[in-house]
Amino acid sequence: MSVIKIKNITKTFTETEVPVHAVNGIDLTFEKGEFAAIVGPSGSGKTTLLNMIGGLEKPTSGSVEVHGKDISELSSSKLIDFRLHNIGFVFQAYNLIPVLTAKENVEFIMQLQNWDKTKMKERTITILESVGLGNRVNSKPNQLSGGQQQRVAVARALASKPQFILADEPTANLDSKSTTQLLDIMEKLNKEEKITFIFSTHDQRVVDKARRVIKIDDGKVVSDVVKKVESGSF
Amino acid sequence: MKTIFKIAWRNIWRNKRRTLITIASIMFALFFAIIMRGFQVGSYDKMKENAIESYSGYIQIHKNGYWDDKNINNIFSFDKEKITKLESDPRVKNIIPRLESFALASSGDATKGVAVMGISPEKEDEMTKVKTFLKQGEYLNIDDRSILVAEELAKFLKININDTLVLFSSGYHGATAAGLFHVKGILKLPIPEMNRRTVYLSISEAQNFFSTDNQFTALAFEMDNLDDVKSVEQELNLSIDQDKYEVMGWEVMNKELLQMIESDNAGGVIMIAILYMVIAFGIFGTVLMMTNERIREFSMMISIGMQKRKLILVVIFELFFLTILGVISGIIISLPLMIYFFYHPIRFTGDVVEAMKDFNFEPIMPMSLDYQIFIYQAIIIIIISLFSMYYPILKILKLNIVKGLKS
Amino acid sequence: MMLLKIAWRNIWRSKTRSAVVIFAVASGLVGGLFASAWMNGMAKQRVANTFSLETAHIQLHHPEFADNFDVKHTITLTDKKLQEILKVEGVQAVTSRLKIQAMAATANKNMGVTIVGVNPETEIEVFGLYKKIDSANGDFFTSKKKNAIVISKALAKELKVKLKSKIILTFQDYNGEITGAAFKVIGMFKTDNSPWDKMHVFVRDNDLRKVVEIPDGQSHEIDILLNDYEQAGVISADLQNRYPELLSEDWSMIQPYLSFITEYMDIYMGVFMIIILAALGFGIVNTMLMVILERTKELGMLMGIGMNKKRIFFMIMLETIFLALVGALVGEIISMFLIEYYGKVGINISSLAEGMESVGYSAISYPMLEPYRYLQITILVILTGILASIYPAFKALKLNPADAIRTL
Repeated sequence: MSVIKIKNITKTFTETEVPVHAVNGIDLTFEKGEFAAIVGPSGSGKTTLLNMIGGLEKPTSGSVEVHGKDISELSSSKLIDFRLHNIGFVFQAYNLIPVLTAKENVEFIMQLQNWDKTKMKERTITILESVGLGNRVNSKPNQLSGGQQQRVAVARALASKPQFILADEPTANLDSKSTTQLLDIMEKLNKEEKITFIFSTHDQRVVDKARRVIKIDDGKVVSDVVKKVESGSF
Repeated sequence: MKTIFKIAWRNIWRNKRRTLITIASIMFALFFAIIMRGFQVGSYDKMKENAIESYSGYIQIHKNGYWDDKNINNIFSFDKEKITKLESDPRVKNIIPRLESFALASSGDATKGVAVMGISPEKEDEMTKVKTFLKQGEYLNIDDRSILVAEELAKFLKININDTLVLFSSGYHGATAAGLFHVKGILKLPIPEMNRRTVYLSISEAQNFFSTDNQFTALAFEMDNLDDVKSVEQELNLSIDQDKYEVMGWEVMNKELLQMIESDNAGGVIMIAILYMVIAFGIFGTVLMMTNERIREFSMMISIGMQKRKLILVVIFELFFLTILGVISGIIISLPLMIYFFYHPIRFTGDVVEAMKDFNFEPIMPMSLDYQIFIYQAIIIIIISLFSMYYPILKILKLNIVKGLKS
Repeated sequence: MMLLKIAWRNIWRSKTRSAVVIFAVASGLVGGLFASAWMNGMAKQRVANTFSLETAHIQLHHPEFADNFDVKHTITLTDKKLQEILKVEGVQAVTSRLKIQAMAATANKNMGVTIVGVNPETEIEVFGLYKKIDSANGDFFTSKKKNAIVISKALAKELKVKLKSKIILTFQDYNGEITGAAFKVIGMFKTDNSPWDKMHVFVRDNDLRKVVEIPDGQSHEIDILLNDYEQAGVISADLQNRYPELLSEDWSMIQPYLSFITEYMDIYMGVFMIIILAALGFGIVNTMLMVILERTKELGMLMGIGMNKKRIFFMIMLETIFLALVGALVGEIISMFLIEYYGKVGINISSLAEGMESVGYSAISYPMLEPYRYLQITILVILTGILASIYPAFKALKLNPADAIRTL
């Protein structure tokens, strides 16, 4: 069954002098366990599309359904709870709460979800180890490198077992070594935890790893290619 | 909740310098406000105490109308049993009879209008401590025919102990009052105005001089506790014939003093208000900066699922911590100074002494350690920071997450 | 010059933040200046009242008169002296008085008072007491009635007398005898100083002279009004030389508290302004620190393109001073209008009147501030700006251009 169903959504910004049609009629469906890249030049509408999927922005027209529920109908406070329980976010940068340690950042969302304490601690350690940061649990964000920070962000997004993770150019500020590391971890977690990953990028290495590549230009889907599964994991 | 606390606490230390400067500014304002209030309240308490203990007492009973028209015909008498009964009230320490009027005092070439205080020597001393003001000679006995003269007055009249002083006045119902009195002692009274124009006679002698028989102008009540005044006053009013007598609390008798205190106090309050207004802007500036530089962070936290009200709670705690730290440090730095001045009140010297004497003030500036001073000042600062909280709260409520993430 | 322009423009970059500082400075100054002006007005009024009602500017007495107000300690040849003094440069008016300690009595009350024997024609040129009698309460010896007395309303209330009532004054006469005389109340005054009111009564010089039997030509006091009260010290010294047998005192010697009041107000308000500015200083330091932190990259760039540290330091100092000065200007303009307005209308705190008047202040006060105060405060604000900029400017210098740019 499909996790996300996007029906003919558009987004027009009218605050500018000439109205900008950032997203101009897109239909997409995402299934559970996908590892999909949205690519396109800057200004093509990638971020706006991701924001609408995540409920950060409301579409001008059309609808985004998650598990059959139209999220644009939710109140803003319901929407925050919806995100808390269903979506993990990874941004380009400044993902972490600066005053909390890596461990506390990961625990943060679980605390908001009222997890049991011991379970939460276990999960945090597991997930931080799986992103290769088992030895940095008590570091504050400013003591971590950019790649490490992004890995903590992924760990945090994953920790609470969301339906899917949205990542807006997660590798944009990283060097190639960190990029590879982060991608490997994302791929591994996608397989192990069966969590849907949708990310925007214009980094070819990221595109190469993706199993589905959606090209966008001028707010429209130009191509939508599902790669053949090479090494059959599922 | 714990996490919110933790985030808030750590956030205020993210920019240590700014936090310390903000705390320092609160501390500084509180320090000045507390010290200033301490001196003010201390002086007022001293003034009230002086006024009560040196003269008016806590309550007085007079013949009805005496207070507005202090004249020798407005006198009354209570029998001994009645006084003893009133005195048996545990809240009342002592009841002091007085017969007061004016006379012209002269000696040699000098003449001056003086206040004649007819007192019951031992009882009067218990409250007003007249005996301690004795500078020369001896204190009065109950049946003395002698007189005590205030120091400045004695100087003016050029008399000394064992000299004779002539008093002229008109007595009860216009009877002529004239007499020669042997000066038994010279008193240095603490209130300058009294020190310039007061003589003391024993009450029986004064009654004799003014031909009043066994009557007095006032019964002054000495009490232990200022807070009991109201209740005793009310009970007296019920038990006494109000057509014949008037019962007055110290507040009525010292109305001018209280009003003067009030006007002086208003001045002090205005000063502190201005100071706090400035500090409020400082706090607000800090809050403004703390909010604006964190818009991106706020947006991120909301987009990953933190409810706005929890975020608001974080901000409120931050401000609260900041304020409390400022308040506590302000109190801590002002305490030693206050304690010092409480035990070593400032004594004025030089010109100031004369000026203060002109206003009937003792030339000292006592300090009050009343805990209410701290509480009030702390509450005011906390209210100010509550007001400045509206900015981040509004900012969070109106936050556009998408724009915030881009900033 | 370029620096000035940069600094000026920089303070308008973050409008909200600058506005907070500007309003803080402005409101602090409005509060401080207005309170100063209020107290200053009150003090000046009190001093002026004391001159006009109690002391004049210079008084001459027999050197021993003040010791015990002995009736016999008089000034002789008063009329000649009055004429001579009137010719002294700077003297506006002069009058003589008799002053006698007495007891004022009515049917049921005695009060100690000072009787002042006045020559109404010259008295009103020196003293303004006659202005304190409103038409409903009689006059100040305009009618020729014999044995007339002017007393205060406060004393009248104490003695329970009205206009045309009689008061018996008892005193010691020139020969040391206790005598008395009856006077009829023709006027009742009220000043802002209630204790003083209760202690002074006024009668005609020649009425009093007769009953006290003071020889003609003798008086107790000569009171002099000057064109400029600040000349009192000089002229008083001059008169002292001219009349070595008398004691000449200027107002600051007669009432030492008068100069004390003005001095005390000055110090009090000065300290208060400094406290306010210090409090403002904290806010300014904080804001400027933020400005530096925010502009790390920009400052790095400026250093990178070759702006030396001295210039950076100076630029930040200028920004701070500008910020404070704009606030000061706003505050001063608002204060000026407020003080101007209330200086005309007056501030009435009549609910506290009795308390104020018991210490000699008027319940209606007219704030006023000397123009030099504004200059003074402006200089203080600039100083605050300089002091508050030092720390942030040093912080800016510690930035390393390379690091600063890297924070991009």
